[in-house]
Amino acid sequence: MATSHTGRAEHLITVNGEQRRVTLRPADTLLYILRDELGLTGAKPGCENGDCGACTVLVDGVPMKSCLLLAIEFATPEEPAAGAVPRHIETVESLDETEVQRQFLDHWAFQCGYCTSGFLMLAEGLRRQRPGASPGEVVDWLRSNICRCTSYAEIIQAVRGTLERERSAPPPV
Amino acid sequence: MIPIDFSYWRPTSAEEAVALYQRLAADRQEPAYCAGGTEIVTRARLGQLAPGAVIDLKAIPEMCRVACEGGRWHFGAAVPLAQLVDDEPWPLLARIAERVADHTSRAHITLGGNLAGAIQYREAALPFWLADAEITVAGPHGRHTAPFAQRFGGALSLDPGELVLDLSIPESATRFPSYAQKATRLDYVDYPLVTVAAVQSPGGHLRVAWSGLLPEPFRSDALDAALSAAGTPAARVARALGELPSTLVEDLHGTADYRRFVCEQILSDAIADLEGT
Repeated sequence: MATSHTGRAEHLITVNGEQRRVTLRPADTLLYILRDELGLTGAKPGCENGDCGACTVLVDGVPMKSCLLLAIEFATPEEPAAGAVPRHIETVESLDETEVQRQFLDHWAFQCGYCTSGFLMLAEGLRRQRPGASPGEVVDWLRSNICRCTSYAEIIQAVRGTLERERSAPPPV
Repeated sequence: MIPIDFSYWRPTSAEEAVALYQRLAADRQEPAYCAGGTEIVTRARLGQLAPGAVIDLKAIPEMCRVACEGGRWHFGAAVPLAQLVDDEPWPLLARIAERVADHTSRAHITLGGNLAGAIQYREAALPFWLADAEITVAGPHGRHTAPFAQRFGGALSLDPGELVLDLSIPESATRFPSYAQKATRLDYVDYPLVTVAAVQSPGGHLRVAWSGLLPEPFRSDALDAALSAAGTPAARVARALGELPSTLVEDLHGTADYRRFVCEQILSDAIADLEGT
């Protein structure tokens, strides 16, 4: 049975581990709702065309460009069906003294910083999904984001450092 | 920000999606099917597209599956390109898909969207042209399965309200020796100057499909025949180039002459790769 949404209305979406109530139109992008309705301004508007990656967030652990997503896709009913798992959005605000942040600081992997939150979320997604990524895979993932200050060499070092720490970390007990 | 309003619908079966489309179209709401949504979101933001209703196809299970059944691999039209690359059920499709856009965008872009979209390169079509593929379409008159080439001649031929459910190929086609190459002019992540997919069929015949050379993807039996005929690789490439259309695309990415030069190099590489010469 199809679900449908018309006009501006209240919905629940799950962001950074919390259910948040937002008012949105079906045509609102996730980027717009995160920033203007929820005050999560870490995801940056850049090209708003899917090219620059400054708006990258994690959706169920996968890096995605929030300028290309409709926020309505993440709306969950007030009383979800049994067993239904809401899709989980993570923004840069969910990172708190993580290894990827430390590596970006240690390697000075930013200049103006506008693109940094997008790169951090991309790198965090890579750490979780592909901790054993080859140098070629790292470059392939990083091609998704643009840094106009051209800190690319430092960003690559920071991401490689993150993965090396991940691989050398003792397994969870 | 998208400056227009539309309603959003999420059907759970293809028949429900088609019925919705018909009803919304009858109400003059200008519905649009949507899977990855990259073109709808970006073009609506720019005012190039103004659907009154968006029908999201991602909750239709059969459109989201990749499976081998009855000797054929099936690829749902709402499967993201990233999944086709990561799971690699068909190496040639994975090699072509991994050069479409960038890694993150491939988690958005779907197989059906790449084929049906307005962006003319439609590189995901190239492998299917070379593999005796079939395409299943749902529409107001039910479901129809046809040879891929009957529905795709550079762009998909779909009647209003029709949607692509899945594409399938014989299991054996995934094992044909294959070659893929994408040449770009400005950056690694870019639209193609030339993208080529090639296979060597069991009889040794070479088949090639192209994107970037003409305003839409193309393939040519005459070019394949010239490439597969007896002779030295250089002579075969020269004859094949003679079968290219006389007017190639001239744009920011390159002149027609430059594209022809790149084609010559790529065809030489393809023969060497596939025939071990």
